[in-house]
Amino acid sequence: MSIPEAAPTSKREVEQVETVTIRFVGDSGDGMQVIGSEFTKASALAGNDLSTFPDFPAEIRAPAGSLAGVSGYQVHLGGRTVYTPGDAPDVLVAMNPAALKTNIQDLRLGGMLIVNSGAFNEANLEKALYKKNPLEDDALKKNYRVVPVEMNTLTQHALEGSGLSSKEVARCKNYFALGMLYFLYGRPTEPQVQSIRAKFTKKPEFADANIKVFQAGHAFAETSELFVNTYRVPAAKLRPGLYRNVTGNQATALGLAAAAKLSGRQVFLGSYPITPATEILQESSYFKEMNVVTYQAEDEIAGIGSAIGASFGGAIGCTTTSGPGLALKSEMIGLAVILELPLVVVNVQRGGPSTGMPTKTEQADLLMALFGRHGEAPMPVLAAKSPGDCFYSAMEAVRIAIKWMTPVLLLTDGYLGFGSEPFRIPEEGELQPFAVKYQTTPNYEGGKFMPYLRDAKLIRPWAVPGTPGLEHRVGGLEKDSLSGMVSYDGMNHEKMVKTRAQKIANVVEDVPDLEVFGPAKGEVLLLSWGGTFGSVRASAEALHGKSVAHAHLRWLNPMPRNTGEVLRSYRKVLVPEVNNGQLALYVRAMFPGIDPLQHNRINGKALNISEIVAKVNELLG
Amino acid sequence: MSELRENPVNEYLRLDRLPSIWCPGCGIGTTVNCFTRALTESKLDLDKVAIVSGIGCTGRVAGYMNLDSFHTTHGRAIPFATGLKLANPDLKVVVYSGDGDLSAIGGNHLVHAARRNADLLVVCVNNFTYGMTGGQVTPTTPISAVASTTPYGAYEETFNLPNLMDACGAVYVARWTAFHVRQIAKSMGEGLKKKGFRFIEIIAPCPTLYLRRNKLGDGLDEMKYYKEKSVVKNGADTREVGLDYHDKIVVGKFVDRERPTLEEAMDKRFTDVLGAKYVPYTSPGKQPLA
Repeated sequence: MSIPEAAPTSKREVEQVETVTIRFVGDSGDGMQVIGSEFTKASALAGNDLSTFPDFPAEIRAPAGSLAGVSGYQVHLGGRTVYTPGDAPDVLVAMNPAALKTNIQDLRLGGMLIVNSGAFNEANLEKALYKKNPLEDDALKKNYRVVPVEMNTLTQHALEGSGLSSKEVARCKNYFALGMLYFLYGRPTEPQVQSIRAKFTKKPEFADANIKVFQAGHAFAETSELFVNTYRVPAAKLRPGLYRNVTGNQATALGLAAAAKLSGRQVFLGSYPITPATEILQESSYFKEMNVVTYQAEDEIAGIGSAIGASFGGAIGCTTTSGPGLALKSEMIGLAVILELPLVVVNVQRGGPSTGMPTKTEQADLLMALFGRHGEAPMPVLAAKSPGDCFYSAMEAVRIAIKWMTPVLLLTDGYLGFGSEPFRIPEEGELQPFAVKYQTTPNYEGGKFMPYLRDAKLIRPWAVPGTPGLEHRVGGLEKDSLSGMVSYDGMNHEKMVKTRAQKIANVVEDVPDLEVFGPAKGEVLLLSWGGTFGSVRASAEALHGKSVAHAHLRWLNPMPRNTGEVLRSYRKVLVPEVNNGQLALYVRAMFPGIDPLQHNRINGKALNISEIVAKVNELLG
Repeated sequence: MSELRENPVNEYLRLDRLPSIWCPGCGIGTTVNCFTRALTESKLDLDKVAIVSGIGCTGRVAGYMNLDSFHTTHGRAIPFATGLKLANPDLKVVVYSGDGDLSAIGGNHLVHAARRNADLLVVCVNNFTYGMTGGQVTPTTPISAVASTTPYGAYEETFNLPNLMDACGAVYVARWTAFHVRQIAKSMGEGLKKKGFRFIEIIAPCPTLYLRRNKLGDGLDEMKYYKEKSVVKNGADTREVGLDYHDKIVVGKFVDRERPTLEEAMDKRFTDVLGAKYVPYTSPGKQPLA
């Protein structure tokens, strides 16, 4: 193809946009995650608020060009607070027919489609099950602003004489697309050039090639007449401070490490790889100077087992997993409940049951988290609401586990774990320390130590093995309410069951009241928990001025004291969830008389804001 | 007048927990007796010895020892012990459990702990059966032996535990029978001193289930059998110490070698790669209380 003649740059309009959602899609090997995150970094540097979500196949490398092998990365950036990675993308960058086919239906009408027309050859069209080339279809052009770019050829031209093989050349084309986006959104190119150099320090020939292609993409967009406008997203008014972009999983790992610092004790993370939780273990395994010990166990059970052993030994035992792993760990969680030792279990929820949809998100482990154990085994359960909030939730989980001598379950999900947002790094002294106090002296008459002698809040002491005079036995058998020795006395068992339940109920003193966004009384209350916070809050904002409020539950057990009162202040309660109605069921049981309406999507994706808004408008009549 | 003296074993036991749940003629108590002797000989600070058990008859040992003790869930004593040791390296951690607990439901943990050379002494009391649940077949029940779930005799190939542990990399492997009390105590003493994954198998009678069901007499008959049919072969090739039903039992210390422990390997790796940046973890007692 011939490159169109340069249009004078001055003639181009610079359009200010409040927010924009861009999705990069291509084959798993096309480097979509790379350019998605690079563009995100540039947007963060430009001061935009943002939220991202990668969407990739469960198979590490599905067949090239196949529908199953499409990998995507969506970023939503804005000059105001951004709550979600965005509903329908405004811009879709598609690198091949399979990527176009699986994503075009999400692009908003009138949105921009930048497509690598060079990849639309017969073989690729066939793999994507296209009977004819969709780019020649008028319907596409009618609905969207289609910008076909021969990225394959243009990349080859840029690298003529580079000495790279044709395969190596082809792998650079993602940077061509990135260069175009940099021009369109007015991002400075220099930081990106440096970033490529840093990425390929050991292979400078690839650094040169990618930089050349990146610059070629930039120049192409600048000179081509294909783009009428360029765009600017103003900087958002974020709280001043030092920011970094974090995924929810990174934030969870950092939160646990921060807890080691704040408590002055080692964090022991015993885990087993499972998507989408693995990244927490991986991140943590670098934290060797932060008093974090990581142990990749031989299985899920050994992961939690080693963590409980470490807690017995005086460390903060933690384990991370996803649904199927939580099921395997449930016997051990029961043990931690009866032992009353601190333990943090992080469950990054994914589509289930069984292997289900490992890389897709879901909120369907709520009832398992609350009730999925043998025997009467209550434990505190909290859920993070955004990628950055995973940091604070992990820290809070540790604080509660230590203070109350109990296992704590933290729910996140694939959407939060893989998604990212700018995270303001807390300043020194901003976070409250929570020092661990071990029992070091006998606590009972006659110089004896009674490991299950409780304080007024029903908390038992934590004595570390090796403390002279405090030898004690702990175990899974029911224990005497004082000495901890095995007891088969039925009345003692009942007392212990009730005592453990009351202790967990007492945790409510650490649970802040439920806050309401919007009118304090009215027609509809949107009630959310966990990762749907962003979608639901954005929906509530979109419904501003109507009799609609939003409340978000961070604590699922115990629930905030004022929950019932809040729920009863609205005529209708709508619970949007990425499951079949688990919070709704729980609310019905906990607050008799309240029968929440449900909005459930279980398609592996975050909730769509426009759908929630439509549902609320329907309720408002 | 003879003076009434206290049994020297008493100081190691939680006397308020006695009598034990073990049947007359059971071999588990004998091994506990040997263990207390080994502890005395070792002169270890008992505050620094912790014992972890799984579930089952042998799993009750942790409950009777007057040490920091942890009675865990079925099969999982080794993971708990590994975490305990990693979090609290000053402790000497002993795992005490049975053949079913350690080699069936806990088999995965057993082989990996040996591979990693986790710093644990593992005492496996092998009575060829699940005692507490009523005498079912285990991975060590010899072919043709009757169990409640193999009424026509066992037919699966068994684990030769010393060979399994040897192959997985254990640094110390020994086997004795409940008859060999001195040798058990000596092996346990050596095990307590040595670092790394140490495994001691003790063949012991279960008169109530295994012996009765197989018409092998009582505990005393079993002791006679151990005495007659045991062959001491220190340093024996572990491939040749497999057990057949009521046949000869090769006993002895089969493996005694050196290999970096899990913690040593970890510390070395991180120190080599990270230098001063690496902060080795220490027992909580060593850190000043905040």
